[in-house]
Amino acid sequence: MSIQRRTFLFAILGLAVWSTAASLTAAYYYTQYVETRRTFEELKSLVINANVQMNYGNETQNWHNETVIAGSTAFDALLTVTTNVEYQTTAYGVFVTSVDGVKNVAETPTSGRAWLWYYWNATTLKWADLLKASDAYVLRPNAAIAWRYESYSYSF
Amino acid sequence: MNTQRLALLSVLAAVCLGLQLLPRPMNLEFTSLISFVTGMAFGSLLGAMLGALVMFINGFLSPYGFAGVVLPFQIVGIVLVGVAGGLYARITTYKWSAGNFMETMVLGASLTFIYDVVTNVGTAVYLASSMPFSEALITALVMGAIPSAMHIVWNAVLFAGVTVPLVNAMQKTLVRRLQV
Repeated sequence: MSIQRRTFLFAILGLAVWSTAASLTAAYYYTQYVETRRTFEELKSLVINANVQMNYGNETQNWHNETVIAGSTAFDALLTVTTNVEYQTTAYGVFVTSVDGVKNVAETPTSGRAWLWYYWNATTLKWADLLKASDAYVLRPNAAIAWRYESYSYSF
Repeated sequence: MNTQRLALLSVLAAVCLGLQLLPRPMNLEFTSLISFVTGMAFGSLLGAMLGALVMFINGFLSPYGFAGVVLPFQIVGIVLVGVAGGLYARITTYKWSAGNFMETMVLGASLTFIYDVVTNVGTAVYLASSMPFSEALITALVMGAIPSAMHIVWNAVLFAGVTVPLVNAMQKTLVRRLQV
């Protein structure tokens, strides 16, 4: 077998393997794409939009438009905005004690400044307080949630 | 076969089996290379037999578990590699050049590809219990594409880098020209 013919044969063999293996690899990624696309379409109905207002109590207020999994709570919505959150888990649910370094302060036994949350009542067009823990409120599609660092006081 | 050749063959078989049974990353194996080199040094029959023996034992003792229905296909695949080593020896002059490194690289890639296709057919036979065989074959080939690609690249590099020096060293050990 001449050198040229031999080189040609090995080159053809190498190219055949490369092209077939590359085609199979492309087919693999195509099937992965199709599968991922199908999963995405299925999951799309399982996610909702949530608008989160953050008010740090120092004139700093901003809005975040987030996409969360259906079934997420007001607390989950906060965690999509920032992961710098400290909280306590109590028998009543989660109690947020600090967000982005802004900590709750108890000035007296019945008053102080703390992180409180509200939801937008689309019927009354007002921010409303549910008097329950943020992880107990399941978000509805296009829900608006406000997390505010503000003064509180209780009277008995 | 003289004692020297028998001893070398035994060492190759032992090394091959030891490496095959060692826990190692997926798709990184030396059995193809050693079967091919054995085929070059001792002929297609012994190359094929060494590979078949190692794969047979591996089928039962592999760290990844029992090979099951894929085992016969693994044996067929590795037999082809050993036979190819013997055939390549027949067209090799043993005057090594850069061309030999390229040829062994192409052969490493090609034989690995063929081995993977054959074993994927075995996987398809397994999958065929729950779907039509044609669908099982396409699934096995496509889902095995990435591991196969890694396997091909690894063996191409291994064959290119090791075959010629190893055969050369074996030539010197055996003193006389191989395949004579």
